Formats: sequence, structure tokens, C-alpha cells
Amino acid sequence: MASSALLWILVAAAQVTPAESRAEASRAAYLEVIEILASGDRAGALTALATFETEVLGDRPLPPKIADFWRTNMRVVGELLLVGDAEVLVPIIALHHNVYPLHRAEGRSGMARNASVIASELTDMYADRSEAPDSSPIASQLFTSLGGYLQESWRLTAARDIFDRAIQRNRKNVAALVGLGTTAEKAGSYYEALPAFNTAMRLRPEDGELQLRAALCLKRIGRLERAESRLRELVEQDPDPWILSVAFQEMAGIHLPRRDATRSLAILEEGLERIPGNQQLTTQRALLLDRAGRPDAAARLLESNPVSSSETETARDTYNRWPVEWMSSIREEVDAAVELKRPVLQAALLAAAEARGENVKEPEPGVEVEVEADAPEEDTFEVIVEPID
Amino acid sequence: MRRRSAALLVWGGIVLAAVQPTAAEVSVRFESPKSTDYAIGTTPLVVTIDGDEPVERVEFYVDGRRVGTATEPPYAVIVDVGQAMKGHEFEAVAHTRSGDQARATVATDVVRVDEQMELSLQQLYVTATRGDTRVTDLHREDFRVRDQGSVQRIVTFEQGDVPLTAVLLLDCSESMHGGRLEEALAGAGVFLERMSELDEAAVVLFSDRLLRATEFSQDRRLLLASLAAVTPTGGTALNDHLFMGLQRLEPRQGRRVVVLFSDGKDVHSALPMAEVLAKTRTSPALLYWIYLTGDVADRGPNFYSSWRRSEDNGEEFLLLQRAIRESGGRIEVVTDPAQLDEAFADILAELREQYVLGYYPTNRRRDGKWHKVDVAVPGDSAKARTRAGYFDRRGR
Repeated sequence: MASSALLWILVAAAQVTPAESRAEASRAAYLEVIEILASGDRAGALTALATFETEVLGDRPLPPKIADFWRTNMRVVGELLLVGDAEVLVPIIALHHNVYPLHRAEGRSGMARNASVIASELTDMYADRSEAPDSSPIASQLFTSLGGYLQESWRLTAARDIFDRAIQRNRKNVAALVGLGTTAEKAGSYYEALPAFNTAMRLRPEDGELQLRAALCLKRIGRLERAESRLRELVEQDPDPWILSVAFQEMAGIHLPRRDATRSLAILEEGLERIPGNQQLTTQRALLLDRAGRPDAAARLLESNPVSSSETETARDTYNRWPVEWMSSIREEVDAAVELKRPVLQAALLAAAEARGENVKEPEPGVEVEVEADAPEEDTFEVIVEPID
Repeated sequence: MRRRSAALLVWGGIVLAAVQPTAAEVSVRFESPKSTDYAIGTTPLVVTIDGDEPVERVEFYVDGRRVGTATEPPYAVIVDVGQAMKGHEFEAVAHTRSGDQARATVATDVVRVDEQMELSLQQLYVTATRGDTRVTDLHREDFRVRDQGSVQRIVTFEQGDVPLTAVLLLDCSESMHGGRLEEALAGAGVFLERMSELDEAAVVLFSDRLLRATEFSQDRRLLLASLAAVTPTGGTALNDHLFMGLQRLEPRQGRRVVVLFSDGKDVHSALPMAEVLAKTRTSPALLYWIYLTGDVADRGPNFYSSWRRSEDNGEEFLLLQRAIRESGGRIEVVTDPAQLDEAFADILAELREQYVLGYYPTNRRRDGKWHKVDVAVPGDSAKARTRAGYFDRRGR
């Protein structure tokens, strides 16, 4: 659907009239951004795109202005697609989604939203049109990376939708599954998070964090025995210390509301044997002592609670943070895909310039593309784009 | 007020009652307690001075520890000697203007069980206000205390200089960046500096974990030193550390107070607030919460976390508010960090101006049930605030 809408815009873009000179100036500026990108200067392209978008749209763009902006961008993309293949889109998509955090950081939320829409629509377009064998995994990676940006800016609903689209393109994308799971978990949608974690766990059975998150989803939906048995399996595997710490706390926590003090106490003592002096386990143990009518003993226990910042003490904070390692590795993959496809973009830019009758200097690989316009008057410049079927 | 229903034996009596003559031209005599008394819980210490020489002050000691000073007649202080059924030694030392001393001691006996008798003084710390102004000129007969709806006889009444033991619980999480923590630490410093000589405090700095904690101390320098070189870090485990604060107050005696500084958003605790609320209901401690809010980034109590649903976080927030209200303390909302020192100082001032009412509940059943308590000032526009009630601990 989204691709069809985009195609409509591409077709509409073909009907440029001289009266649209401002749009043409905008088109030229966008083309320049793409040329910088094709040269390999990704940081420069990013800054140029952010500046260009801010100049054209302002901080709070209204829908008609956004539509014009899209039309401009799509004229350039349309030209490139006419002379090249869908692979040209990969660096462009990455550029648009990387501008998202830049706009967010500057407080331009409307611009950031616009960037995420362009990136996601182009990704769908790429996946639908590309015939490359790696197109689906690449599209999935692009979606995942974008989902990560949305997640980090707390656009949870949008992030879940994007992660879902990433999974549709590649059902074995563990980072997307983790992204979907953690976003749904944060939103309190444990029934949605659980299958995501379960699937990810099947793909990476050795990953303790996935086991932990799946078990805690079970706990939150009330499947306490299953949750406890999963946590028990986990602690027996000797996972990372922070995972071990949370697993013991949560296992003990299962029994706290049931007032099964004996069971809780046994778990806490076992946990404290594995992680001596852990603050959270000690606090839980003090609660049990207090409940058992031994407040002074509880107080003494807490007086002896050591101050430390070990990873077992910060475990709950670690759990609450977005899992950045998965996103870092996805972004590395996106970067690799961009580098892989950049020559295709360079070639398409040359071909498009030739098609417009411009004098083009053959670029060295990795060198900025120099384009000399064949000097039509700006006001009368007209681009003829073949309709795309 | 910690309650303990006790079946007591009235047995024995005087162990020692002595009036020691001194070289001074004055003599000191204990009016309360008498050597025939059993000292448990809140105990008034009252002495009479005989002689012509002007007295500068009278210092009171319980079991060797100084517990108070009176500078003018009636020479009296109220202390909480705890619920242990043991004997105590009381001493009063009068200092005359010429530098002489006179002293008196009295010892009360250990309490032994023989016959049934109720001894479970309930103490209420009461703040009276008219509008935004605290009222400090009320008398015992102005108050009406009801326990489970039954009007109670107020047997002890005090105001002002009752020593306190405080835990200052300071949230040092990342959300306290941008100068907020510095202002809070300065405010805590004001509280510590203005404490009375007999007050004691412990400082607890926390985020998602315990960052720093002192012992209870009357040494202001030591306590103030604990506020130095702190930077915001990590998340917030408010419930865990509020529980810890209450628990650390458990073995202390007398008026106990937790002063919590936080934005109130518990993200990381291992304990749910419901458990902490249960603890606050059995603890005698007054809870004061300096609630820093109003930051543009403040997303309110219904925030997202991996630990709870957004609405459950909101529920935790409500339970915290409830715990504060039920304890008889209050929530001081501060939107401007620059006003934090004022907030800390005002809480200390309020504690200084509280009334302490004691009564023996006439309707105890020792059934473990909640006793609702209310205090009013009939015939006056003043409003009285105190803890919402207590659990009537089961008898043995």
C-alpha cells in the first residue's frame, strides 16, 4: 500500500511545470545531498540533509509542505530508479533514518517523524522492488535500526509497528524480535512480548537475557510456576552476574505475595550464597525477617548491607535499559550494506546526470561526484520522468 | 509509636531511690519517675529544686545517656525509654549559676509478669494547623482523641523539644541532574545543621542501589560530610530504600522520622510499594516526602518501565502518597529546586512544633486488627493531623 502511494507520488512528480521553480531548487539541493552520500561522506550527507530539511520544512511542517517535500525528494529518487536498480535506495534509506536521531536531539520532533516515515516507506519500496537475494534481510535490518531509534525516543507504538515490519521481512531477525519484545514489555503488553522473546530464544538458545525476559513475561501474565521453572533453569546455567541477580530476586518475588516465606527464604539464601552481599536480595530477606516478627534482626541485616556498584547491584537498571548491543550490531550490518550498495548509487547518479544531458566527470571510487548542470534557466528547468509502472 | 501489649506483674518495687546531697546550696528531688514506678515507653522526668541559688540548667540522663536539658521550672523532659521490661537508672544534674552541681538519681525496677494489666501507651505526634499556619498554643484539654471511634483520655501531653531520630533518605538518581541534587543536598544540610543537640540522624543516599549510608549520629560534622561529593547516577529504587529507612529506625527509641527527598518515581525496586505500605503501618515513624516535580521532562507517575505497566507505576505512586498520609507526615511539593532548603527547614520546624499526646486505649482486643485513630480540636477551626491508626498486635 505504502509503495503504491509512493509510486503515485513518483508519477505525479513527472508532471512538473515551470511554475514549480522553488521545488526545482529544492530538488537540486536534495540531489546534492545524495551526491555527497554517494561520495562516501556519510557524516557530511547527514548534516547536509538535516540542514536542507530544516530550511525547507522548518521545525513544525504542515502536511501540504511535507507533501511538496516528498514530491521533491521522490523526483530525485524516481530519476535514480529509472536509470539504476532498487539497490540505490539502500544508502538513501539509511541516510533518512540516520537523520531521525539528529532531528530528535535538536528538538525537531516533526522533522524526526517525517524522517521516520520517509525511511520506512522507502524501505518497503526497496523490499518490494529489489530482486537482490539479500534485499529482505537488508530491509529487515533497516527497519530494525529505525525501530531502535523510535524506541530510544519513546515512540513505542511506532517502534512496535516498525519492528513488526522488520520481522515480516526476516523472521529470523533476532534484534528485531528483541526490539519488539522489549518495546511491548515496556508498554506493559506482556502477551505480545512473550512470543517475541520465545522466538528469539529459539534462535539464540544460549542467550540468558532472552530467557530472563521470557520468564518475567510469564510471571507478569500470572503463569508463576512456568516462570519459576524457567528462572530455575536459567540460574543453573550460570548466566551473567546481573542476570543471575535479577533471576534470584524475581524467583523470590514470586513467593512474596503468596506469603510462602519458607520458599522465598530458601531462594534468597541460595541467591546470597551465589552473590554474597547483594543489596536487593538482602533487602528482600530483611522483609521476610520483619514479617516473621524479627524487626531488629531485619534492621541489623540492613545495617550490614554493603555499599557497592557491582553489576549485580545495578542489575535492575540494566534490565530496564534498551538492549543496545543488539542495535549496535544491526547498525554495523546496515553500514556494511550501505557500503556495498554505494557504488550502485554512484553509477545511478552518473547515468541520471547523463540522461538529463549534463556534462559529467567520471568519479573516482569513493570521491565526491561532480555534476555540472548544463545551465538551463532555473525558472524554466523541466525534468521529464518516464512514468513508472 | 511501637505498641506492645504486656501482661505485667506488679512485684517488687524500690531498688534505689536516692537524693544525694552535694556541696551546692541546692538539692534536687525526682518527682517523676518515683522509685515505685515501672518505666516503660514514654516517661516524664520531673525534678524539684530546693534552695536559694539560681539554677542555670538541669540535665537529665537515662542509663548514663544524656536525654534532655531543662533551663527553667518546671524542670522536666519527656523521654521514651523503650518497651523492654527492664529497670532504668535516671539521673538529674542541676548546674547553678555559680558553677556548683547538685544531682539526684532514681532507679526503677525490672517489670515482672504476675497479674494481668494493660500497659500500652499509644503516642500520637500531632500537627495542628489553621489554614497554612501551624498552631502552637493548644493545651491537652483542647484535643479529642478517638480510637476506633471511642474517645480516649489523654494521659501524657508534651510539645516542642521531644528529641527525634531521623533518616534522611535522598534520591541521587540520574533524574536529579541539572543542579537538582546539589540543591537537595544543601537542603539536607540545613536540616542537619538545625537539629537540636539531642536529635540524631542517619543519612542514606540511594539510586537504584544503596550509594552511601551513615550510622545514626548526633555529630553534625560527620553527617554533613556524608553529603559531599555526590553525583547523580543510576535509576530509582525508592521502595527498597524507604523500607530500609523504616527498618533502620526500628530499634531506635522515641520520635522517629523519615525525610524522603525524591521525584517519587520508583523504577527499580525489588519490593513492591504494597509491602512497604504494610511496613509503614506497623512502624511508628512519621514520613515526610519532599516531592520534587515540575521539570519539563517530568512524565508524571504513569511512566513506562520494563518492571511494571504504566498504570501500575501510577498505582505505586498513589500507595506512596497513602503511606505518607497514614503515617501522620506530609508531602511537600517543590517545583523549584532552589526552594528545597526551605522545604527541609520547614519539616524540621514542624517537628519542633508538634504535640505529643499519649493515651491508653480503652478498647484493645489484641486481635491484630487495624485501629483507626483520629485527633480533633473541637470548637476550634484548627485541624489536627496525626497517623491514621495502628495495628493492635495480637496478644501472646
